Amino acid sequence: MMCRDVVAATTDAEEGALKGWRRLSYRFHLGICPFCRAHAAQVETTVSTLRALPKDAPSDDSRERAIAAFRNRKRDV
Amino acid sequence: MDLLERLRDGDEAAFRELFDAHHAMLVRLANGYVKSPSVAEEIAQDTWAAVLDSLASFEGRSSLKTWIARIAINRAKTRAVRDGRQVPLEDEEPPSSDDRFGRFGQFKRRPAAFDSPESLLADRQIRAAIDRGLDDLPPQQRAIVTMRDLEGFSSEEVCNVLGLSESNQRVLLHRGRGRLRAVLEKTLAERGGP
Repeated sequence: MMCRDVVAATTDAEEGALKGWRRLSYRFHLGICPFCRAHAAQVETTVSTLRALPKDAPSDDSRERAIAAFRNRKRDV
Repeated sequence: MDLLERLRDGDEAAFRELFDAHHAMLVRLANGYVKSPSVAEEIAQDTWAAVLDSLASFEGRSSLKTWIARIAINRAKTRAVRDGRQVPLEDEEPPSSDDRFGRFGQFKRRPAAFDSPESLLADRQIRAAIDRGLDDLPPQQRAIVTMRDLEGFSSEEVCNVLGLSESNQRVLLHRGRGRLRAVLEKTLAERGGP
């Protein structure tokens, strides 16, 4: 595997989908290549950053609308 | 009593809880297809109506969250088609030449170290670049990254919602994350290095 192949296999590796020889060569390459380790760290930070994105709170208007729909249905039942 | 039973019992607090937990996700998912925050809000509202109408028939084979996400995405796709927006089944990706690699596929230079997620998110310019990066993703990639990385869905749940195979899901997740990684790299480089 060259760096390009390692980069292409990042998500497969992360998701546990690399098997056998591919998995071995991936791990071997990462072990000897600081550039690919730096790339893997970039991906890891990207994913952690996405996970840490603050959630938008729904506006009061949109909550009130949904609650009104809820009450209407309850009344109809 | 669990949330589903409380909802079926007509418990308003339970509905508020569900709404607060997932409304923003529905808007975000819908917006990926219709590219309009106000239309996305309409779709999210319609989704809640559909959820309330079908609570009785919900069989609980998937989680509530997965079920709701699927309803919203299906509605968003239908709406996008009706509005004349093309929704490709597969996100087409022209084979790109990645100039980070040399002739033999080796990295030409060491990828830069990123700041911590906390400091990246504290920077307004970077926050804006991430939001834009998400908006610019093709619909499927955007839906997958949103569910997997922003909302914490498992790959199985995402496959279930979008009707994708595991390997297809991985390919699209890889592309989506790759694009956002590149967005961060570019933004940090333009800002004068991390």
